[in-house]
Amino acid sequence: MKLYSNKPLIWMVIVSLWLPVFMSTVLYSEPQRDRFVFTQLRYTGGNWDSYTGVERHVLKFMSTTTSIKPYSTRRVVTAEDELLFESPFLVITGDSEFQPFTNHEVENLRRYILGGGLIFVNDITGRKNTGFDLSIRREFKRILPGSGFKIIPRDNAIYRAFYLLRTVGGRQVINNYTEGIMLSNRLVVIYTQNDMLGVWMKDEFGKYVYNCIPGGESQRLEGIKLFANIIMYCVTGTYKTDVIHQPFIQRKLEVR
Amino acid sequence: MHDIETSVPAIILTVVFALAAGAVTYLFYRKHALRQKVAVWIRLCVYILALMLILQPVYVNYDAPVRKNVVPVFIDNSRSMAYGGPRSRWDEAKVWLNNDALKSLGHRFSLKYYTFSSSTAVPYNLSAGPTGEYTDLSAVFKQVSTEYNNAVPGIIIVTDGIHNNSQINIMAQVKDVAYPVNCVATSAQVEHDIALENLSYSSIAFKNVDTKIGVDITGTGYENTEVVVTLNEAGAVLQKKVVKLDSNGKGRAGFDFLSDYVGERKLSVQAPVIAGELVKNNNVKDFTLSIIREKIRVLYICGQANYEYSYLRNVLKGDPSIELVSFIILRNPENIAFVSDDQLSLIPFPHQEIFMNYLPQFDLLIFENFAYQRFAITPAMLEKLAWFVKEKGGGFLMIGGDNAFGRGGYKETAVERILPVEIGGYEEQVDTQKFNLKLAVPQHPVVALSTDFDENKRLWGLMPELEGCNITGDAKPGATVVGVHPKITTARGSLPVLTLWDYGNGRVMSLASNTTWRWAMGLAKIGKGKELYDRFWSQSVRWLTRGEQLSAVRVVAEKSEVSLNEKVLIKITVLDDQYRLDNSARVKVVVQLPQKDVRTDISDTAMLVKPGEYWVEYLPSTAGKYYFKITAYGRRGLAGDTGITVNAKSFGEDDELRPNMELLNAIAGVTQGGVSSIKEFNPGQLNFLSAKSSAAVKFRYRVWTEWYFYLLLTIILCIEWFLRRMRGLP
Repeated sequence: MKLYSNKPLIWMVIVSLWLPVFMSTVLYSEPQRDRFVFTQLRYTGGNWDSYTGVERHVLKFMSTTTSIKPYSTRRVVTAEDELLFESPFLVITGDSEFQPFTNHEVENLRRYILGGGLIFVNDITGRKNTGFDLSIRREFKRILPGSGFKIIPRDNAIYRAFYLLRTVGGRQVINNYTEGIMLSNRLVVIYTQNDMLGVWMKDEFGKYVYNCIPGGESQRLEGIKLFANIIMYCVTGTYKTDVIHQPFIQRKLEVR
Repeated sequence: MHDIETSVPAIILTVVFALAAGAVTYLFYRKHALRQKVAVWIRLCVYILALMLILQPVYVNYDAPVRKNVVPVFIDNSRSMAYGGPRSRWDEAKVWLNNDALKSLGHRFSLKYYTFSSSTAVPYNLSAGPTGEYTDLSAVFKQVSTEYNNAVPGIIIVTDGIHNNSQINIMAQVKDVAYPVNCVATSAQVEHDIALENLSYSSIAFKNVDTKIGVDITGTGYENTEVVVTLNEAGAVLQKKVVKLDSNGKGRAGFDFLSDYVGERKLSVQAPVIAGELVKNNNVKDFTLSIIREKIRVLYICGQANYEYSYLRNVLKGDPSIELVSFIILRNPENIAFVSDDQLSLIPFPHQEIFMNYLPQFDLLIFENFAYQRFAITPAMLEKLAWFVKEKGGGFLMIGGDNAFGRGGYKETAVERILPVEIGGYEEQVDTQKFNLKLAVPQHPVVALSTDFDENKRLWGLMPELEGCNITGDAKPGATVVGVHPKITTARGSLPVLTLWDYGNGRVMSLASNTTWRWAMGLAKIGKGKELYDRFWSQSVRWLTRGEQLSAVRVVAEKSEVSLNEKVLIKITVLDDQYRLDNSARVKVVVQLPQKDVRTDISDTAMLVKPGEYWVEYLPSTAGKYYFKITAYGRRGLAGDTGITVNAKSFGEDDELRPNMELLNAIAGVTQGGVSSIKEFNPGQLNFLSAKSSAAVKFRYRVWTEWYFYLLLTIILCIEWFLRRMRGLP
């Protein structure tokens, strides 16, 4: 007969070993400072999280190929969340109609844009006139009255912020253009119906999950490059439209 | 004196009459009966009357030319006529007045003499002498128009051709003159003179940008020789040029002048006075250059693509008074490129050109989170940066981050020397916590978001937190710590976050955090927009670049020196309290005249011409310095005041002393007049309209319009009809 049980001791050892790990995870949050944060909007109704984990591929790509230092995890916010104003880059993605934003959310998103924020909107359906498309156009009419979506011209900085682009890629190319809303010469909303996030999705073995239609891998590459350019545009603005770059860019475009 | 005018030439008329007379004579001798001969005569009369009806002759009776036509003679009595040797041009003119050839011209015309120089021609006065301040040849044409209604057979101008009223384009006026203008050119030359003429420069030049200054040199008696021309300021020679005059004694000196500070530069170009020169004051030309900053030129180098760059770039790009050139490191050497280089929009970082060549062209250099060693920037280039600040008066701003201050490798470099804070080595820490900037000097122009102290304090209370701070050393002695960290301390107190100082001629600011973009976002969150963020950076840039940058009222004169009859144009730019162009300002302009204690208010002439830019014009009446005092009022009261001086002088008579034969030949050519030398005067070279054209018509008699002409014609036709009817003539 055992006079005492050694179970408490085992538990004590386990707890003492895991406590620091647990505490560091719970209490310590990684400082953002000057890092790029992939922030995604959670809205009511519809499929707000179409590609869970896509940000890992995006951020790894950006840190490997550019000087951007990304924040390691995705930040999910609502339009009423104060954290919304902690990062000037916001992704809205979906495939179906969603509930209208509340007035407070509309006002917050307007303030976000006026404060320098850039919103990237991605329709994953690969079709036109979807419920998501209708919802997006409806809501941005409320957020920025009088400023509708327009086709972004090909000489805009998003087509040359890092990569020189002549075509528009994506998982399913249904438009050979990207739409956007300009405010005071600044692109504040970028909207694609070509599903530019779907091109990044990989399985656990590193293989791309979705085929790109109709252009295949070259179309995927163009989609990756354009999305990378959009992130670069967020942190450099119209830098690549400065006069000093023009001779270099023009020469490269002519050579290609 | 009389004449017959017809609608056809007289020769045709004569031939027609001769043919008619011949035909009548032939018929007359063929007829034998008296009544037949009478009938022929009657028919002849009818024909003659019919011919008159066709030709409509007019009998013109002229006044007898009892008086001769007046030819006005204008003699130039401006100061330049006093020059020439051994006999002056004025003396030549006086001798010419007794010339026999001129007297012979007086037999044909009545010569009436005038003198002229400035705007009015007056009857000739020999005793007055050549004293006119400047020459305006248009005065001659005005006089002919006023006194003679331009009805003269021609005029004579005795002059050296030096027209120096720059406001009058004399050749444009001459095109409308309907009579010959005959020029008698004085020929007396100045034997020895060096004259600087046609000074060309832009009265407004930009800081750190070359401006060209040029001047023509005319060396009379110094042909094919070398002349040293200097550009001077306050007695000191800035530049020197050796100019070889050509065989006509002409040459030109050019200077490239660069000012490294803003303000007025009172300069002069000068040629040496050589022994024997008659006129000395044409050897120097004074002028003033207003050196302004067209735009504040900012060079922004950022070591990492991040939000801070994007936000600050947006502020700088959105300010119309700032010209931004920026370089941002988009890819580090360790980054992988998975596409070929021609698919990337990257350009090489031109560090060599920037630091060794182009740096002085900028007013402000910004380093944000930038480690210089990774991009082949040498310590020598950093020395150039220090020189840019200390000697050239440039501004330098270092913004924090992982690669700034000590972590950027600036320990023991020239940058450490110019920074207002001490820095450590690579081991320097970066605190990652959020914090509110605590103001130590809230009234400093960089952080004065409002002119009201309490309001400024309230506004800073709204400013969101920054995140992350470089833990530098203490502020250096002499530096101003404007903002500190609220929690972190150093050996001497709170950690300096926003620190400034003057270094040599320039200014330096260090900001130990690169997250001020959070101010913009945080203010937007509470509905304040990003105006306060923009204002902070706008004021920082203006403080760093010093000069007129914090003045809301700026003024430039189109010309710092004008002639007496030339309008002064003053351009005033007014900014509002947020440094935006103010289109609704009230501008008060008071002119202090050269006469002591005489002022005049010309505020009512101020006009808004461009956004925020008001123009006023003023016509000086006497030579001297005019001071324009400008006060502007915006929506919130006084916006600011400033002033500018413009010099009005009558120039020209002592500058260009060579007779201007080109102008005289051109005037005579356009008006179909002639040119003659005063020494070898020959009236045959002059040209006048014929006297007839000027004779007055006494009356005109048009027979064919009288009633009795038609009565006579009817009676004759009736007689002929009667004779034929009664006598049975065929």
